Amino acid sequence: MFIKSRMFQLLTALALSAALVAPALAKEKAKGTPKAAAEFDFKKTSAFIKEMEGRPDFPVATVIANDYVYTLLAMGEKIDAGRQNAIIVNVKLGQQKNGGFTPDKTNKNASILYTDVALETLSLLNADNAIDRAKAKSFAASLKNADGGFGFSQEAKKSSLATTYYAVHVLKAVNGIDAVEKSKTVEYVKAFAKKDGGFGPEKGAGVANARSTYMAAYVLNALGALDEATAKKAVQFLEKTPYLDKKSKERPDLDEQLYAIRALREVGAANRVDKTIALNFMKRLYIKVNGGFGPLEGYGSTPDSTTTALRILSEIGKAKGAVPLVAKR
Amino acid sequence: MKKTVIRSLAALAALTTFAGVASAYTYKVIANNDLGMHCACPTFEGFLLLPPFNTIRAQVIQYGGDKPIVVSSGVTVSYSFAEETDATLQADTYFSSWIANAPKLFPGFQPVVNGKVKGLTGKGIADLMSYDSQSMSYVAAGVPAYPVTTGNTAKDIMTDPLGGPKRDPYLTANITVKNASGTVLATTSTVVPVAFGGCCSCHLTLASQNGYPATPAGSFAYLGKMHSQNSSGIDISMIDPDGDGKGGPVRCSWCHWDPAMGESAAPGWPTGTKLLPGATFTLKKSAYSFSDVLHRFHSQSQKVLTQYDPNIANNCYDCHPGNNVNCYRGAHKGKTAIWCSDCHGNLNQRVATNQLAKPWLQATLPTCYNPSPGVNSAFACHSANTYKTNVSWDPNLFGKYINARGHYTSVLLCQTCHGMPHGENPSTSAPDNVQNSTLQGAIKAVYPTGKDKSYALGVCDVCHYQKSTTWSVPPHEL
Repeated sequence: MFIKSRMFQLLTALALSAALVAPALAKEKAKGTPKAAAEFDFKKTSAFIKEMEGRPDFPVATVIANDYVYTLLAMGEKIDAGRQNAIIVNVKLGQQKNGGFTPDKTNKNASILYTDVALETLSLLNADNAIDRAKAKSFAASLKNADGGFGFSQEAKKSSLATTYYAVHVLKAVNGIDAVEKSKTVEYVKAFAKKDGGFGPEKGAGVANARSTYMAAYVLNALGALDEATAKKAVQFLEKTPYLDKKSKERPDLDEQLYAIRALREVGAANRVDKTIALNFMKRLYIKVNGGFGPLEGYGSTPDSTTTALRILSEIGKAKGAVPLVAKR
Repeated sequence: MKKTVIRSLAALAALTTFAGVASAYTYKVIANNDLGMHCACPTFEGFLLLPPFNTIRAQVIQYGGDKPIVVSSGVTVSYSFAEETDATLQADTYFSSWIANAPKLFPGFQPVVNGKVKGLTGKGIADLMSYDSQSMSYVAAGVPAYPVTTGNTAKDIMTDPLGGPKRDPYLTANITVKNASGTVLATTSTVVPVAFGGCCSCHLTLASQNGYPATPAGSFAYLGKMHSQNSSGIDISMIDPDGDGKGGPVRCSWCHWDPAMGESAAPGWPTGTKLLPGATFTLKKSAYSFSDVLHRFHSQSQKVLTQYDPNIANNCYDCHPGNNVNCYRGAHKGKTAIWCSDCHGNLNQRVATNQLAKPWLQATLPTCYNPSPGVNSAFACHSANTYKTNVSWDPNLFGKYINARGHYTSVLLCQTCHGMPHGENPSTSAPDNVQNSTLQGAIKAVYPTGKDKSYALGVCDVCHYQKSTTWSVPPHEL
């Protein structure tokens, strides 16, 4: 009787343990390979993005090539060798003598923006060395201004926070961070800090936004100059945005949602990302008819907004594929 | 079921016998919007990009006898809207803003006369059409059509950037042809598209991100500040054209000439225009067209590119109607991955080829057999030998597809058979296909594999009495 009772207790304990451990194991497994949110039909999303494959000039332009590559990889798809090659060749053709990249191969005006996009595309395709990286570095370095910031292009020389971010981003990607004059650039970027705690696109008065906050935090981090106080203030600012504050009446913006997540990661507060808010927002932007995502609620889908949505879903672990481990734009 | 009944009735109506002239003849009318999509703004208090201005063209064809005749007299052609009336327009909050501000934007113009809404050319929301010998069609130019909330969720697809209820951008114009004694000879319906662009969607956010209210007024104030940062130094929000002590309303084309307004040079500011206290600039006129400055700025501004859209050169819907409205929705879109930029060029190409110095001109617009000059399309266009355009006119506004006629003695507008530009048949938007489907569907026609009644008119018997009922490509040239 006693033995039976002990055996029963043992079996019950084992069953209970198994029941307790199973969900945890499943959760752990899910962590490794994020599963697509049931709300999104990625087959449709894929078909939507692949519409451009029918174009004789595929992949058309630097940003469009990037959209194609990122979105498909984020959904866990493979890009066939022929298309990979077409994209790499297209990107290479965009590199100018000065080392910078253009919006498309017919354009000759290189800028730091398209250089950054081109480098990310190559990185996603494991083809970093397909282009002249040393020239890309010298191009980015050539945009450095006396104020510590970087300009947009060799023609549009004026510094801005965004162009400085892109330059630092590019330089980091090509092992050229030594080209940055650290103290000056840090000082330049810090001048974009706003009273509300974040960073804004313009110096002086004005309000912060998530994009600028991310960009500033990235540069400061890359230069080893992101202090605790700045990071704390940035989180305080982001807490008031609709990406963390459920009661916010501000209309959420697709790009800002992405940069809010990235900014939180950049300032070491990844645990503060509100995945539910982000996922619900993506659900509202999803267009069931074609599987794309719109730039705003109620708007039609575009390849660009679809890619940004996939970036967000990647960041919150809701994309089918793993988050591509490349320098973040 | 309801749709089928309506279409059948429309088909019957389109074939109404004209007893007044000759009982052997019946009449058909085929109508289209000239451009395929016109823009509208939800507010007119700050500035005006474009006024409510839509144009409908209708060709009346006498059917029967030896050859069809394109009717030019002896009938009256009128239009009205299924979704919109004088009363609904005047009750619309956004259109009320037009009514209030239109006399300031177009001094001397009265948008409401004897209780009836009038467009800039005097046409109402229901009115008569006049015969135009160049297009050989009855035309109503400047119809003040405006997107409307119908309550039908299938039709109200356009998002209101100001947060109001969705609206229907594809209005239905009902066209009626009568003889002198008032007998209805023929009727048809066509889509009159008018939609909000994407400007507010971006600029409201932009205002908010720069410390201004996310309202039209806030956006106008910040837009003024941004404008003052260009070489003109002019803050448009500090211009007071009507002298009421507040900035606006400003008509952009006063300074930046716009062929869409019938201008070839900037007309300048109205008499009595004042500057608000604190303004440090002087008023002047620009040599650059509105199209030029707007496209050039947005494609070249590093702020726009680095902070908002690096792909704006290809994203026409950032500004043109794309907020769940497909301005470009016709046969080209349905068949292939042809983009706007394949015909018009992307913004970088348009700037590089200097197209925008002469916008809206026939010389800078695409034709059926060539993209805009200087643009290399990824796709082959139609053969110039097969699809000749015979008669064209008005090289200063619109391309040859809109302002040209062809087919035998060059009596038919291109769009009479093919539908409106940007929404050519068969269109990806069902309402665009109703007219051709009704006309060709009324005949037991035979179609080649892959084609159906929604295609461009190719069944001879639609116009030619007792001729072929097999769909084919009709001769385009003389």
